[in-house]
Amino acid sequence: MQSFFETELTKLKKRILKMLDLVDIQLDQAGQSLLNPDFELVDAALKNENQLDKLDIKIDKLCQRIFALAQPVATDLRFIMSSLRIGNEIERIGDITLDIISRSENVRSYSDVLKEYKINKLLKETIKTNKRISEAYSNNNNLLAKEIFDSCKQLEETCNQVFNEIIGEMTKKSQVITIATDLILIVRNIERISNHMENIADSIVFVVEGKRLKHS
Amino acid sequence: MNRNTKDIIITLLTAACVLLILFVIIAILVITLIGGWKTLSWEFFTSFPTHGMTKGGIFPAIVGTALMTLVMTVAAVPLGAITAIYLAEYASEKSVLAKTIRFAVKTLAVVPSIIFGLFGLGFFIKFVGFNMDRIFYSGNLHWGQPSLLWASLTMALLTLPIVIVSVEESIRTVPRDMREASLALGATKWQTIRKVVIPGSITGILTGTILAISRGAGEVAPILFTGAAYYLADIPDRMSDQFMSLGYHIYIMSTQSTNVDETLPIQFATTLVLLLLTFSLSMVAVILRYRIRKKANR
Amino acid sequence: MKDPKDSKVFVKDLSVYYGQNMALNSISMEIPEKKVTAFIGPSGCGKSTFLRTLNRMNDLIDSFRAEGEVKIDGINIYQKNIDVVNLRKKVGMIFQKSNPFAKSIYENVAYGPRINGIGDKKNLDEIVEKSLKQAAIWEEVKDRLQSSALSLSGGQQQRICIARTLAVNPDIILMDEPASALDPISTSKIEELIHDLKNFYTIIIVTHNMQQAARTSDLTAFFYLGELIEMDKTRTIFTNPAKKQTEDYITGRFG
Repeated sequence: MQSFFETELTKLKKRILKMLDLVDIQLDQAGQSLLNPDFELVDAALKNENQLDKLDIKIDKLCQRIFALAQPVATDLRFIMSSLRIGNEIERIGDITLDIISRSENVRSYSDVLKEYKINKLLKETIKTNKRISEAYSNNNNLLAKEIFDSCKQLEETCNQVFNEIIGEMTKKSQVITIATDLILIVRNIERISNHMENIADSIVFVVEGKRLKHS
Repeated sequence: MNRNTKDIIITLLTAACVLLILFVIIAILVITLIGGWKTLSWEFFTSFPTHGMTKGGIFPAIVGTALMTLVMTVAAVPLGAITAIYLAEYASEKSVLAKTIRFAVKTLAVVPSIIFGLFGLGFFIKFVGFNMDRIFYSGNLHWGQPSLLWASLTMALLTLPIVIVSVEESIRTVPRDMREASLALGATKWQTIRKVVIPGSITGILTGTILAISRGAGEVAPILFTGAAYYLADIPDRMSDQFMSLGYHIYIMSTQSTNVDETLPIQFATTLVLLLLTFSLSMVAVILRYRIRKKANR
Repeated sequence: MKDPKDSKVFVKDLSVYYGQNMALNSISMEIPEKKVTAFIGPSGCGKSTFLRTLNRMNDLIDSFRAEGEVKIDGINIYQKNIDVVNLRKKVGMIFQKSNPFAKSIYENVAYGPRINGIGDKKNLDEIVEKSLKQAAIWEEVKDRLQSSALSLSGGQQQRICIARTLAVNPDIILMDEPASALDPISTSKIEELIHDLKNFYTIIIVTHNMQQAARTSDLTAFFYLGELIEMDKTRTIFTNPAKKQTEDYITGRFG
């Protein structure tokens, strides 16, 4: 028989995991929207985004309530603080993913260019990372979170490289500028997504160890 | 029967008991009053008995009782108070001395008063007094006979247990945390007793002492062989003198006077005086207690 | 590691017995000067016993026995020739249930100075006023100093007890659950007071109310079953304690 407090903590965890699920779907749809020329998923994506926003607000309120009523300390305190943070980060990821989906209209016809720069592979990486985040958060697995942290940094490196390559192409061949603009923005978005995931991993480590990976 | 009925029955029984007691008290007062009030007068209080105790006053008895009570108080109260303080504050529960003292006090408290009288005779007079005479008065009879001193000391023994018990009880009512507060401020144990415990229990101490005194004032048996006299021409002016006492006077007049019927009014009047004396002592205790309590709660 | 002489109270391997029962098991700790140190732990864990060893109030219990060292300002207070009466002037104590004497407010506060030989009225008046001001109750009682201390409310009585302790000018003030019998407003007044007093006195407080320990103290020591489990800065104990037992206790997951 759980205490009221424990129930609230479980509720909080479930909501974060639900958000991660939604982002999973969102990212998957982003990948699809880049591949599939007949793809018309913006509406569904918008609905998803709406849900993410709502969940974020609900999580905010839940955390407020727990803080006020239970005066949590130590691990509980860190868990709630981190969940609040993670919720925000996921909401941003959702936003960014939506941006990719809306931009994909312009670039999806250029499938060979997309293939050349392995944009989809980059996106798949984030999907994989998102799933690993769900696992690390669910199990308070700080070791896994540290791995995620490192792999995010790597992905960001890669994105940066791709970004520079495309810029290089833009300077050489001016006719690719229109698509290139959208491309670099998509790559930047993926980089930002990875960055937010890095922050989430950092927060998970904080729950368990009480200190941050960043700035340490 | 149901609970309400039980309640009513108990209430009625209690009321009946109270009424009975009140009735007895009032009866005593009324009888004494009726029998004696005519005899009360200024002369009665200030003159000696005359004509074989059938006329005159009870002045020497009043003085005698007063003096005996005074000496008894001086002997019993300080000793009793110190013993009580020792028992309450210093003695550990397990100490042999404390246990012995308590046992002695309990035993003394139930000894019949006549035994005290016999003890006074045998110890104070026949032993202490006699040996004092041998040492200081070369055998001449001075202390080895009934006197104010020996009677008062004997009476002191009787009231001692009462003083000890009531003082100890009042001291124990002072809550432990007040003592702790005093000690925690850096007071010594004696300072704590002097400035916190005793002031905090003073009502109880005074009440108990006064009740002990009023008990002693009325007792007759202990002074029978130790100092009370049937008739003295003068009031005592030294400790070795004998004295007259109200209680003894009543006894004498009702059993051994030349004409019991004629002395009846005087008996009633003397009884009335004795009652008034004890009553006023109790009233003093009540008033003192009230005033001290008022002062503490202001 | 600080030199032990710098800490106000330095305890080494203190074990306390009541007859055959061991109440404290080899406690070692340092308590710094002019800070608030809180002792927390479940009932019966020994925190109050430990507090009372610091002013030797446990001596009042016949079966009490202490082993080890308790050094205050470098002097072991359990050595043979210590003047316990003097110690208690230096280390004052506030009790869980306020216990003012059945005397006037003035006499309560003047009690300490009087037993120390200060009889001069002007001197006493000054001390009483200063102490009542320090205890943040002067304004409330200054016009009724001669009235009985027992006529005040619980929270006010407790502040009188604090003023009474301050009047003897201690270095260290021990507080044994000082606000546990008080309502929230009185409690917060006492906590504010503690906050002000720590600028002048070293304060050690036992509390079973963890939020109070969290709000008022600089350091927190967690006791369990007669042992010192963990002691650290309060913010560390409440955000990231080192020992699981501490974590379990403060998050309420005990037992």
